[in-house]
Amino acid sequence: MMRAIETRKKVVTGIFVVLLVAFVLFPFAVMISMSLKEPDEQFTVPPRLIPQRPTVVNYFHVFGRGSMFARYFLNSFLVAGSTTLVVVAVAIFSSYGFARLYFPGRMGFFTLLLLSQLFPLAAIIVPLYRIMSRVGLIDSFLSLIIAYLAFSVPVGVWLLRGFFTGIPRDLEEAALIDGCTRWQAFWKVVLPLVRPGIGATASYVFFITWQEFMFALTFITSAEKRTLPRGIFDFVGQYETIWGNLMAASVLICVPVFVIFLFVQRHLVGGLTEGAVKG
Amino acid sequence: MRSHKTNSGKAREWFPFLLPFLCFYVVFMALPVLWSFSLSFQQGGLLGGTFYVGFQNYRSVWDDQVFLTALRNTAYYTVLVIPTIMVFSLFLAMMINQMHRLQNFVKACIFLPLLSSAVPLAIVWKALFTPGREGPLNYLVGLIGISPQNWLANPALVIPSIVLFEIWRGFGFWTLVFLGGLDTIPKTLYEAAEIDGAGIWGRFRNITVPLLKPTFLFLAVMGVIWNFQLFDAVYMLTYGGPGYSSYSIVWYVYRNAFHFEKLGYAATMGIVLLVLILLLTGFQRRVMEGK
Repeated sequence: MMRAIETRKKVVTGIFVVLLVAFVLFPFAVMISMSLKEPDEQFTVPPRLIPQRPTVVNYFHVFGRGSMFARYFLNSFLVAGSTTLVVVAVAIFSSYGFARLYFPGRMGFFTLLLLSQLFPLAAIIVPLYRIMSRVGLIDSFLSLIIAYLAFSVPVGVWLLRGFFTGIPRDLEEAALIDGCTRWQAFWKVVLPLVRPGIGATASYVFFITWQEFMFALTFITSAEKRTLPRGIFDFVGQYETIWGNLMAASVLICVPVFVIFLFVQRHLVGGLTEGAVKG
Repeated sequence: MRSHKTNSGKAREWFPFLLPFLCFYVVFMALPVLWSFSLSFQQGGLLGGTFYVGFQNYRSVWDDQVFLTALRNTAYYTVLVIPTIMVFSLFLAMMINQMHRLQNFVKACIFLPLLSSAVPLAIVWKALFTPGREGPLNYLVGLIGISPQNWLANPALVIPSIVLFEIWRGFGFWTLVFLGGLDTIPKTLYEAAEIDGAGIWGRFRNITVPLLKPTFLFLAVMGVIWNFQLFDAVYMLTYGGPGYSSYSIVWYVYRNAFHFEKLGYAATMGIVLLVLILLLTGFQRRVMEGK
């Protein structure tokens, strides 16, 4: 009797997992499938997920002559990478401050962090655009990096703070008693312990800057400086949508972040949800 | 209990750590918002000079039928997304919470849509939304006897279609946050309730829901903040159309700033959006904490 209930529960869970995974992965499967199809095979009745005549010609097109895709890739890496470096440099110190802060102004700082989430990007894009064009930075990577810092610094500080609060205070107290300065205790005792958190924070900031579209669309005007989310429009085609090329480019945009995610998955998922729950 | 003196000493000690954040915050967040506020009293182009016009932009906003449509669309969209995604994600989280071996695999899977840019994801969904019999989504609904729809060109269907896309894109985060919340509920509570004869529904209503209140509040507040900023999906899937049917507030801000060169007006709507978000989230806190 008990065993029958157990088996039934397992079957139900099994069906549930299959359905859920299918729901999440189906669009990705369509993306890959369409990237491997010739134009005449894209939309058939009934639709086919497995291409009948699979081809990699779309991928060749994406990297082919006259295509700037490789360039966009490099641009995206440069912009997302530099933003991430700055955010991590800032967050390492400030998150620690936030995690350990106990003086009366503590609540004020938290309100600041929260407020930064409330400011819609639409409210800062106009003035930022004006500042950038005044100082001649519009259409430069620096303008994008600065705009990205505006929203990713608070996110990075908030995320990394969760990892610092997980480190017991006793460790630093012991180091202080042993004659370390506050700075040494931080640099030599706490920081090495929080390394997985730094990795998770860095990759999350990389993900959100790699994705960003609105600033990438408005701040960059010349073709050779575009980042991937904007550059992908090159493959739309002039008269009709060339789905195969678009999908091949889409697959290639997703690959780097998915690979990074494989390495940081455990820490990142844990850190994000804990930070949210603890508030 | 620490004395006040050591506390303030502590403040001085921690200030250098917080300084880099404060600098970035003031320069890249606070100043642009203030400048936006000042721009909202001006008129002029993207690059040229501007002049002050007092409250004229604010008056125009309330008379602007397109803005009111965008506001209505955004509100309708948000009202559709938040309850649906909340119920769906909570259900998923409770199912995933009971798993053992597969849990990490499932968590990684539902994270994937969060990782990729909205642009490639919207491109795929645009293909899925293809009208006519050859559209994949039309094929799927055809299996349950629904005739082919023109998802993105039908004014009645366009916002629900965007909602479907955004739910698929966002539910992973909501589910993971709910999982984190469920983790904080002690298992012993459920066991005690079971001994007292509480059924599944009773345990859900009397333990899970009340103890998840902070999680609900967090998600409801963040949900409003994020969804009121709907832009990428509109740009990618509909360009605001058909007509004004899928104009969102941020889409209209973007149009005014970068297509019509009405900078002051765009800034004004940005400020109105900020005030709306502040009011709504404040209201949510009130309601949820009052209960």
